[in-house]
Amino acid sequence: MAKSEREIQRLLTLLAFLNRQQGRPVDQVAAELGTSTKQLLQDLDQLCLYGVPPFGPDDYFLATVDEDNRLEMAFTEQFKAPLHLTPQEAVALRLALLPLTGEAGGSYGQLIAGILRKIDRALLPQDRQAVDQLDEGLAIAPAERDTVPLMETLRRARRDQRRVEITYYSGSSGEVGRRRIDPYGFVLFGGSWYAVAFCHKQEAIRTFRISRIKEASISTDGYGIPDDFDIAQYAGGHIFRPTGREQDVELWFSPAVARWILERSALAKRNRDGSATMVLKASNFAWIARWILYYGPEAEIVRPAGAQQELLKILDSPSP
Amino acid sequence: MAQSKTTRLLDLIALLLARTVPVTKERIRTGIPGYGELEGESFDRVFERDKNELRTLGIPLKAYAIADRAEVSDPRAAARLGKECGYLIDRAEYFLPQLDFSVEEWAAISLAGPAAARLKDKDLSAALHSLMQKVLCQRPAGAAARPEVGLAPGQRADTAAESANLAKLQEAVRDNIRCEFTYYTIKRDTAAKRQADPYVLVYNGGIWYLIGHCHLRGDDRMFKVSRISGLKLLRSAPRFTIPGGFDKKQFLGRKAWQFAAGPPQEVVLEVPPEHRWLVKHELQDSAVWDDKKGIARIMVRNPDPFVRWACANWDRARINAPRELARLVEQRVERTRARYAPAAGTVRHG
Repeated sequence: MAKSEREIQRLLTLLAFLNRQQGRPVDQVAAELGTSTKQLLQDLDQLCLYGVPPFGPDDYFLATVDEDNRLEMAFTEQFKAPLHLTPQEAVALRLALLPLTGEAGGSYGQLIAGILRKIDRALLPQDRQAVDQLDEGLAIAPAERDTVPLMETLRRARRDQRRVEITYYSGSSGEVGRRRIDPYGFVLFGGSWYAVAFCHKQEAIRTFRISRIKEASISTDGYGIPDDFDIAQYAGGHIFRPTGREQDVELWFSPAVARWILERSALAKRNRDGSATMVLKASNFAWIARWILYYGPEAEIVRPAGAQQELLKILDSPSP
Repeated sequence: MAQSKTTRLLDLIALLLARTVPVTKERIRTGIPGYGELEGESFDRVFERDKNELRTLGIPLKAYAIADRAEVSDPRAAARLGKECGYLIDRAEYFLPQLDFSVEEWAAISLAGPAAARLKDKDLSAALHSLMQKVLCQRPAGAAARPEVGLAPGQRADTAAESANLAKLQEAVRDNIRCEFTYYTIKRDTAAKRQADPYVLVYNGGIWYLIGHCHLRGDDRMFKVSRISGLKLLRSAPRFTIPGGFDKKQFLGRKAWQFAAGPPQEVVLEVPPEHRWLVKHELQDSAVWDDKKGIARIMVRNPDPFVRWACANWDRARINAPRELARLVEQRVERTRARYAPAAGTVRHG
């Protein structure tokens, strides 16, 4: 798409958006549009040049920002709604959200599928056919069988704000234990679901991989989600909050397996001899030990000694 | 022309959207300052380009005969026949209909933002961004429910290649267009050019795969989308048809050891009760369980990934049969242990 086309598209949508935003702060409007305040003000300047024939004084678009930084506009009535969706937009949304229908499964997967159906219905008939044809060519793996009912329980608990008691295998410590948690939200990371919840054992917000929960039961105790909690912050940065006890863990991979590691992780670096090295921060080593064991003698925990011991603990256990 | 092209196009849209009677080309020329002093052929050229640009954006700009208001597909041909034409933007098609999202759906669609970040392709991200802006125009003030789910950006090093290929492959899969590309076979560390008929894009465990008929191998193959490079859609080649017996569902949710690399063999795994639920989670549908005996039976077609899994789960599960596979795991465990034995004389790294 040419620059002028992109600009037109943006300005047309802006006009429709502004139609309902009279009197709102500029910064808020920009944030909601996913654009910067600077870009929004530039776009408003651009729009002030435009009007409809016969171009009388009332036929021009006018935007003003008052002393409280609030937007006031005239002449947006004509663009009361945005332009219909294009097939390219519908396809992009499909590729982005369709994986979630499988990854989430259950009621959340259905929620996403419902959104996609509504978007489909809003397309022009000729565009709808193209999107349907694409669906024929896509296949999404379903969620792990056991994860779906657990996710349902945790979603219900969050909706009703009821504390949950779980039996949980901690991948970081390698131990199974009981915890009481208040689910605040969920994050999808690397194809797995995690619950972000307040853990009463650790008295802090912790991340729980849902497929590592053995059992979950909703209690009668209520809880509230703090006003400043934002799931997007967990998803955007580190879903595992640092505890302050992290150490550098250095891993080495032989040239025979290095290319898989380099493809898989942006943290891995290729060495001159074709092997790969990766340094990551971790406070618990059990999950690293298991991961390294997949590569057997083709990989090694170089440091720290604690992580090596974790690996040897698994190997020295008598095979059941 | 004093005004910018953007302003001229916006003026044109506003004019044709506001009128209910088709506007003739002459009215457009004199009514929109952006066309300035343009006349005759030079105006025609600019106007044709403008019409095309608006149509590219999806704006339903249509031509109608002034006399009977019938839609005209080729206004220039109509003009040659002496029919006067005018233009309008079809309001019934222009506006996005009401989507009527529920509060829950409004919260969930906010995921499209981070989902766009997961799709590391410029065009896909731009299309998603513009969709979101249009959709947000309809969000009622009270629908600012707190999102329940977040999407973490992937940490894979190959996401950008995956997204760029996905953007092109979706068209090939949709319209049955043969493709040509170079595929990197990671196991052999070699790359070869090939042609394939792309049947279906499969999303499995956070990764996109392409299943198609490979003309180099003369057989159906699975390709990891991120390992494809130099992708070309052969639009002039005849469109292929997918064979009748092809079932896209057979590729879903498979474990690495279920993909054929050799003859299938049944593996019997013994798992003590305290580890059973965890191992069940790991093996999913690839195992058939006998809970009384604490035994799982798994059909293994590719032993290598299964041996790796068994090594990583050494303390949780033991292979009872076949004996050769159990021995492979034992040897692997011994060799791994030797890496950490101080007196073993192995070369340490770091």
